[in-house]
Amino acid sequence: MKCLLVLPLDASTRSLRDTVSRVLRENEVEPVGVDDTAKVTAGARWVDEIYGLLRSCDFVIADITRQNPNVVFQLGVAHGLGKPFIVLISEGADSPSIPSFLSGYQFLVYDPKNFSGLVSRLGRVVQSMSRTV
Amino acid sequence: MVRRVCFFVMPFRSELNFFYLYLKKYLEDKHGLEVRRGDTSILTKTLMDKIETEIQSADLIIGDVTHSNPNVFYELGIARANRKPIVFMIQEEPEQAPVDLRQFEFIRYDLSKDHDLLQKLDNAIRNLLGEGYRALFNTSLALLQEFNGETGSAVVPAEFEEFQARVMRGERLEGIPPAEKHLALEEFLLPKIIGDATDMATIRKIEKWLSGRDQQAQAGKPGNP
Repeated sequence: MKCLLVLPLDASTRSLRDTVSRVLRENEVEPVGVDDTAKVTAGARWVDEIYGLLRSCDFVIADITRQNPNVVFQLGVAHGLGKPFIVLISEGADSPSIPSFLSGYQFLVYDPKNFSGLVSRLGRVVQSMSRTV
Repeated sequence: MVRRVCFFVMPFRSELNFFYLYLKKYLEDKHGLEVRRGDTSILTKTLMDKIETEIQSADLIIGDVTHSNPNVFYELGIARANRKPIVFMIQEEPEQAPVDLRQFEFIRYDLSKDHDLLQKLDNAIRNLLGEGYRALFNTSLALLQEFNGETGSAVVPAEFEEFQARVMRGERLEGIPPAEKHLALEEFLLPKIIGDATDMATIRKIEKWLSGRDQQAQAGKPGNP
């Protein structure tokens, strides 16, 4: 089983990526896109590569804290391909509201300074995801 | 012939309503499209389900990403997953676009230059919906060759752009006959492929040739009186 990570790629989110990847591996899910995304972002055919990665994955984990348009676009592609996704949002998010396209989805709100709560909750969600997907 | 559907993805903001209605009217008149938006049909499902259905049944998606609205990007992602042709519209420089647009058909526009925007839309739509016309063009060229051969004429074909414009006009007025109705399709196509469509002698000749084919087909049909 594979999961595509759609997380912002910078130093400040490095620990979040590491944490999510660890939880996935503990549940025998292979995280995809952790380093590969950095490579493809530079290329012009970026959307096609992401599209290929998305197709090969069983589900998606995305962080929409910053409502980055690239992340949102990829979530839309995941929706269109019928891939389930888990949405992460930081407690300190700038935006007070969640975009309406995501209303009705379950969010995992995490504390950016302490991932222990996220680890246990994400673990449970990933387990149930692995069973249903 | 069902009209082709163009679905607009843009923020639902009242100040954009006139802009949408203006483009809708233009695209419907000029390209014979049916232009729709997320609020066109009556709400019976959740909004996103409805938009997904609209996207799936559309032939072309136009998305305005000017204000970086997350809903717009999400819906365009759905369109991408459904392999729909997408035209991105943006007021800023495309380099500043939050998503890499270079691989898509995109239009940079300025609200003070409406004609410029319409012209770019014309081109984008021709590029994206043109493949079907290209096939019709090839069919028509073969038909014209047949006509020239059988009647000993040397009628010159029209350029593709001219042909396409004529077919689009015809599509809007009478609709393109389905491929299985050979004769109706030939009657529709042949007058549109001739280079000089004002030459009365050629047009008479074509009509005569087509009605001859019609009689042959009638006679050739088994069991027909």
